[in-house]
Amino acid sequence: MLSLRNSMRAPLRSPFRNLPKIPSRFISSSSITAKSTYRTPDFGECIQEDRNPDKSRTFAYFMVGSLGLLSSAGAKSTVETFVSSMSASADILAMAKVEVSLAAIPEGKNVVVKWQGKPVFIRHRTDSEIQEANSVDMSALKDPQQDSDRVKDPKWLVMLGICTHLGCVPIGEAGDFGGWFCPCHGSHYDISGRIRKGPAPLNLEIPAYEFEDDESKLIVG
Amino acid sequence: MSYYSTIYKTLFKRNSVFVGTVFFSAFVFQTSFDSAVTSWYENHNKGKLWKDVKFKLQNGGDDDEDEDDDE
Amino acid sequence: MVSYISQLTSKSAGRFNFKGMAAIAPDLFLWGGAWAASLMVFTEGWPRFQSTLYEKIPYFGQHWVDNTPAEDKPN
Repeated sequence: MLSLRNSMRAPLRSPFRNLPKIPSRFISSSSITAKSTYRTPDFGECIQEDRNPDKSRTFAYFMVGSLGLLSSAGAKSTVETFVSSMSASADILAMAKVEVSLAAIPEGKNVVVKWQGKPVFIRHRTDSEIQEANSVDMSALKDPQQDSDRVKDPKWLVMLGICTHLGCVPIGEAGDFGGWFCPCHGSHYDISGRIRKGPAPLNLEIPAYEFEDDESKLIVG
Repeated sequence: MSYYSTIYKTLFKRNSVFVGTVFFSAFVFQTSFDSAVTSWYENHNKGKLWKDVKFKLQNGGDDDEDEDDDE
Repeated sequence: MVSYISQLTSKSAGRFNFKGMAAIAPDLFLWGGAWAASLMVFTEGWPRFQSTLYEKIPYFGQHWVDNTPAEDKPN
């Protein structure tokens, strides 16, 4: 008992005191295998006679390749999901365009249609109105723009019915210039939708539109 | 030369061929997988899809909606 | 010098030399093919690639041909 306690206490006094004297090359960590005393057993009897190493290689590489195949297809699918979530959905696309039959609008009349939640003014202008729109002096305008730049066909004026001041909807066939008048803060627009008087800074906006079927149909959007 | 050695030598030995094979089969796989799933889905839901229902509705299946050009 | 060392060091511009490039040229082409195949994987769902390239693959390209009638499309 006493000797056991002595031997247990011994390392506490000096940890390196009882270390066996070993050559320094066994402490080195390089080329352990060169110093190994392990004798590899001979598995020769267990190995198949007609062993083909390409078989196991083919199997291993096939598995690696299959993993690569599935991961690349999955990665592509993930990327595609994120990218396609940025494009417009089908319900938005369905509302993107509005068709208007122009045959129902007599000359000198306004029509308001809803396009993407916004009002669009369509006016079938008379010849005198077209002349009036073209005779305006550019220097008199706050936002100078030729009438020909604002229409595709001078007969049809198509524009967004949102006042460029604070977004009210102007009233048609009103105001000092025979065009539109915004009741909110008193902006007057002329027969080409250009700002003439009042706080609005810009002319009424023109949306993208096209005529179809020999100008009997208008497609806004 | 055995079957496995042929596959190993043609597909796996060169790394570039291996990677190319993986990507090309991924390309083929994803389209054929898509086709397979779509055809299974359409077969499973036969008769309920719009392309099946469409002609039934157009040929007088709905009496309450259309008012003209039907005698 | 022993020939196998002089072969590596002769006519080199840095690590690149004509002999070395000629030796790996087939492998470079194969890597190019692998790169193209990876691009094909990732552009498979891209409509412009579908209409310009993939629909033109014989037989297999039928997968990308859209057979939806015109009246069933949103626009």
